[in-house]
Amino acid sequence: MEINNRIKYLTFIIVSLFFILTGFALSELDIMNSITPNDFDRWVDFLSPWIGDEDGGLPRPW
Amino acid sequence: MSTKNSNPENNIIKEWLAVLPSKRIRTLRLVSQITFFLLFNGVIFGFSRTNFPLPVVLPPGAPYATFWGGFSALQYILANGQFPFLVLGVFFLTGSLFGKLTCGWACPIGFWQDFLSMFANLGFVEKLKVSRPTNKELQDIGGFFLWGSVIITGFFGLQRLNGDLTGGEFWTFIPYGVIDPAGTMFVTFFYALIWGVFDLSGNGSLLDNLDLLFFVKSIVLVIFTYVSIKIPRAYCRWICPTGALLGYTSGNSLIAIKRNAAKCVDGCNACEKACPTDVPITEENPDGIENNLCISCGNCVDACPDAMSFGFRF
Repeated sequence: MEINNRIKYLTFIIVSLFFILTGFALSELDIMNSITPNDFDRWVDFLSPWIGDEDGGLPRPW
Repeated sequence: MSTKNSNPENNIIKEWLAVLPSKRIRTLRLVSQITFFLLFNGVIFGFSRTNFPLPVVLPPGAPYATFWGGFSALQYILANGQFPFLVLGVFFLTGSLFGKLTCGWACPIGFWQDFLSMFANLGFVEKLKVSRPTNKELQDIGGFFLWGSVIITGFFGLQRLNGDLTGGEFWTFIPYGVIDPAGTMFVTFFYALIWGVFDLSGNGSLLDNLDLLFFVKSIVLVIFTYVSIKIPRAYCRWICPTGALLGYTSGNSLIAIKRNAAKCVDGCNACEKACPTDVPITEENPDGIENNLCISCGNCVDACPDAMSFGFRF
């Protein structure tokens, strides 16, 4: 295998691990978790002609 | 000839059983696809929802989804004014280690397309062949959707950071979700048909509430379905922004499909004929396919186990 390819995938693995750690450090999962319900309320609004409200017993996305 | 033998259904089953030993990878992949499909919709079985992004197509708002689709998460985080480190990290790591293995073995939309391509494989529909240069050029569509969505969500993210925009419509958070055929099929149709037609919500039937966007989404889905029946994995090859993002690293992945050139027979091309994404395998590096069209499905390994194999690119 060419050394170039080896360098490329090793670089990507190192960069991606750095990104994942940074993402955790910045609490991205918490950001997604905390803001998601609001967003999907809008998503539900978007679909409201068909899905109605929670009283209908439908599963609520997120 | 007996009646039993002349029954076409029996013949089809016999043909399938006869080729099963030569479809070992395909069988394994089918098991994997079914398992992941059930896992990704695990809320229906009582699993908990998580907010972890995965590099597969899981539409936003899927009612029983256990994970976030990576591309949806990327758009959503950007639209909220945050650089999506975690999502990009997950995509780069998966792509660097496994290439597009998740497209071939786990993605629910890939699974759906494999099902659609069965009609052509069984001879009910004629396959449409696309030339190699066109096959390569059409990949730009996926890149267009990827970067278009990044620009739009980045713009709205900056607006929100500056306080110029609060709230906003769904499409400002996940713009690709508006036309995403996966979302139309698994979310919009789910609600529209299951809850709308049967009026389980008590809000009137679907027919009372059709609007333009529903038609637009439905037309996109019909086109996607038709093209995927005629051309195997057409969405994965050309449209999918998730695959486009994985494609940036998949060409140098640790795990790859290799070809033993010494065992190749001139003019055989069995591997290329089996490839659902039309990768020119015999023109690729034998030490590992670098073409980002390759979804590591292993159909080529099934077609020629002597020369083709999964392996590490050390």
